[in-house]
Amino acid sequence: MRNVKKFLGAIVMSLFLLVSGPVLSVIATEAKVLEIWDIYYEPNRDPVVEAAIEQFKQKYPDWQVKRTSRPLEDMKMAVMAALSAGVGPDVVLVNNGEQMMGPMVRAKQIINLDPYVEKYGWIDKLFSPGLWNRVRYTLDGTQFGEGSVWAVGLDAELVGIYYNKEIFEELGLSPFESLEELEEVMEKVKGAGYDPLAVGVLDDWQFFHLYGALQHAALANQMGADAAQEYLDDIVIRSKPERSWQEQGNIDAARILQEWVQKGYLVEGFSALSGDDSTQVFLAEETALLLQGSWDSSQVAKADFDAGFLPFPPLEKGGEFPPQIGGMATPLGISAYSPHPDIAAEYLNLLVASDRTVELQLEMNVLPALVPAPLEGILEEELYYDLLTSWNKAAELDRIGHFLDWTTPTMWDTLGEAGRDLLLLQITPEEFVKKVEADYRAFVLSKEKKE
Amino acid sequence: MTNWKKVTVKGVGYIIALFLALLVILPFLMMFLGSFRQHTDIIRRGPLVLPTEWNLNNYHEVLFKHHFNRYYINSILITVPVVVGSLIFALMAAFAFSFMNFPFKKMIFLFVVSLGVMVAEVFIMIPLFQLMNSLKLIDNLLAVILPSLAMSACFSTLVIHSFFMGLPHELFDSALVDGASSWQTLWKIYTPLAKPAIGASGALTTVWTWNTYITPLILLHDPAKAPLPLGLALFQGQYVADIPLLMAGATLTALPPILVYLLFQPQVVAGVTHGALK
Amino acid sequence: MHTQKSTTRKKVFSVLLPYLYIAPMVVSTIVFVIYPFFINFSYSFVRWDGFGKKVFVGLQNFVQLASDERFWSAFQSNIIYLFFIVVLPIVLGLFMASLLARSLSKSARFLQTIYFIPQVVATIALGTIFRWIYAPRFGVLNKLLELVGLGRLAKPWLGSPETAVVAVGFIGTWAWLGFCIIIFVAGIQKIDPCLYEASLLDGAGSIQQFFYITLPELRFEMPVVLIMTTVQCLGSFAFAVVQTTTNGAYGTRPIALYAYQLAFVEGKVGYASAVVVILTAILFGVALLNTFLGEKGN
Repeated sequence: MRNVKKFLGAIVMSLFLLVSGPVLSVIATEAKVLEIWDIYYEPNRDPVVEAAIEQFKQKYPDWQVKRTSRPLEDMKMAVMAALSAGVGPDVVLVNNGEQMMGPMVRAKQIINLDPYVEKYGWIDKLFSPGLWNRVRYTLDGTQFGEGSVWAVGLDAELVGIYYNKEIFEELGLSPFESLEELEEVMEKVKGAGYDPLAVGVLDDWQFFHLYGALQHAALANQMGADAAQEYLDDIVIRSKPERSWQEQGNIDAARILQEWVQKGYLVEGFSALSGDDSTQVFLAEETALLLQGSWDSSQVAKADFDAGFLPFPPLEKGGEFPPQIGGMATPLGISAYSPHPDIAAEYLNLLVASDRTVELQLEMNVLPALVPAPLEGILEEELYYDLLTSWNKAAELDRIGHFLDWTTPTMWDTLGEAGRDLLLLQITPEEFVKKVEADYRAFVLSKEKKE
Repeated sequence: MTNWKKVTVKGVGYIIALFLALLVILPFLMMFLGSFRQHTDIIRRGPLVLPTEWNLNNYHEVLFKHHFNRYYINSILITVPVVVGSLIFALMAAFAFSFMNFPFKKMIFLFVVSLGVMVAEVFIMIPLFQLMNSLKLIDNLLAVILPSLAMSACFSTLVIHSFFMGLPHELFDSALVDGASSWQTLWKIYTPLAKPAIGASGALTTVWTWNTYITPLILLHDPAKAPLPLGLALFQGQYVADIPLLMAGATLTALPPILVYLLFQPQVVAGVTHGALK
Repeated sequence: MHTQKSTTRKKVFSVLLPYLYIAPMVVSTIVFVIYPFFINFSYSFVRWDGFGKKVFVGLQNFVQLASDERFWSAFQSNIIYLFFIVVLPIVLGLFMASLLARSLSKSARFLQTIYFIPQVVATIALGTIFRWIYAPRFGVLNKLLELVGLGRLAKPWLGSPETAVVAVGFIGTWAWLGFCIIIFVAGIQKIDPCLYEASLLDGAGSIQQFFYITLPELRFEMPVVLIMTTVQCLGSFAFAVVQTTTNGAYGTRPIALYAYQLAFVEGKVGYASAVVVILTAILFGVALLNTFLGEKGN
């Protein structure tokens, strides 16, 4: 009997100890500690964050910094759990749109960053006006894409086409400036025995890039580039009920994609390749082109061959520069439970706008938030030069397009499935657009019901 | 004529059986061989070629650069308490169910134990998250240990109870006559006797707990707390294109349970088939 | 006075004693398994993002389910998986077991050991390995086909709606066949050989022996095998395998994975719980069918 008591007592004690740990650590943050929860753990972002923390500690020597950095899905769960329990870090992940930002604004869990935006002049220095819309919500949290700023991202992303300069030279090809030229390039490449374009749609997001790039160009051709940008902002971010996916540009893009599949322009086996696989295929010189984001640039730069980067061309030669799929890195905000928001803002400023940050980003071939990004010291032949010039052009023209899955909470699934059906030639372009429109319309209607 | 028939049937049977065995081994063989190669080599020479060098570089990289050593420790930190705890709980419960009579015994046994064994992680994943969130155990290894402990305890109770029922009843009576308390009888007499059942259920629950994926996926969001299967999934999410590294990770994940199984193989098979008789 | 107290104490204690013994197992199971299991039902009647307030919506989630295209697509996938993970292993397992059971020789034991290995390896690892096997470029299967001259048949196995579900399902067959063989072999070995000898005298051939002796004698093993494979098919096995290979693309997503996505990615916890309730109903349906068939067998 005594043994049982001891045994039970030991269990209770150990349970208590294991539970008290997390509880105590939460209480401890009242002191001069800046707590940061971000997702910038990758090798090309982590050093930038650490450098900013260093700068912060030099400026505020009596402050401690506690940083946790994890992949997006994991961090999102942690953030939601903490904030709903009324606790939270100072600097916190705030993923755009209804994923996190909307609910957090409505629940008053993050603070309005407008005062800091003004104080530090971020809007003039960083990103493009269109990109800033992606971290805006009205004060009541009902309208995305308008209103106050609630978060800011570390760097920029752009999607485009990497090309193998050596294969181009071998076949006497030059950088394409229109869709027609791009298709000519792909035809010639195919004739020479290579697969033209590496892309892998086992990962849904690859399809969003592939279709999105064509769609942006097709819409620009249909209604003019700036009108296309406005249309995309309205439908992807602002969920305006007046907009519809039934547009000729959307259908044309789907049709062109199917033609590409029929002509064999997509790498063999694309339906079972992941995004990473497709990069590997390009690096193995099996294709001449790769549709990918700027985040893979350091990998591509290490290839055995010289590579270049081109933005997606307009449909017709000499046409306007179409919107390019891109964005800002998943942004960070300041939680409403932070006892020292001004200090948190100081850190954010050091992180996104300091010279040291830009310096490191240039070193690591990342697209900086700075517009325009400085080109001094970068040779024209370098891959990074291509990336920076594309970024500068897109940002200065305020033509940065969208990741289409942002449109509705279910769009990721809808577009991914419909996209695969489209590429496997099982549905027509019209049916494809119908499916996307149905998803959009359902979302817009449900939003209206709630209000 | 019938003899010839018998021989050919047996022969065909063996050929099919061997073919199946080869089919089972082949993927593991690929995993093992693949883990010693380099990614560029697979691209250049194809998948079905033997490695040129047999070094442990990939394993080293996976263990130390990609944190598999941490995943190993987490797996051990989860599996040991679960198995030890569940065996203790199971021995106590099985003892009472086998040798004592009390009201509601049958009902409790049927209801609790059967549900405990049949309810898989998937059916309770949402409420488990909410429960652990309200207990503030998210990102705490306990969140994974406790449910696994309960489910393993139910399974082991079944196996051990079935074993106890097969022992002669006089043993219990004579122990009591000798003045031993029930507690002492359980630990000093019956536990040593139950070694086969303990071996069987212990080995199986070790393997099952080591391989749990869904509860860690939902309850542990800090990669530093991930056990091996979750770690491998996270790793694949990031490095899906580097096949040899993935194979090294898979080998590291698969090896311990295979070793436990091989060590306890006779008991495991006996336990699995014995449990079938419940 | 002293004796009275201690006897009542002893009496109370001896009444409580069994409950104290079963308490750890019972309490932990109730708190961490049974309570969550039943709470799931209550979640299915609300609309909830998991963190904010719950809003009671009655049967709305279930009504929505009935017309949810994604749900029915997942349902279809599960039916196909039931075939590959439950039906095939059981049928093939019976066949293989009757071939192996008679020979208690060492080689048969050795084969048994090998057959069980997929059971002890984490499903995630199995998914990783098979992803390479099925890969369109540098993949094992396509290379093998090429080597035996069947290169024409090479295709992106995980990348087309016709082959993806089968490819993933086959992983399940591969993993569970051994398990079924082992259980059935043990069951067959318990059958009294006199039954077979007697039937020979009656002129029974091997096929008749199978249906009239072997099968009925396995009526204890059958429910176990059926339940275990079904639970895995509806639950963790299909979930983990699909997540690591196709992540649900090309019609491979099972109901369990859909529920996970609804709850933990799309923030529709109430709706996801309704999906899980349906899943549970399917499981209990199969369990009932099981006992029903068992009764018939008797």
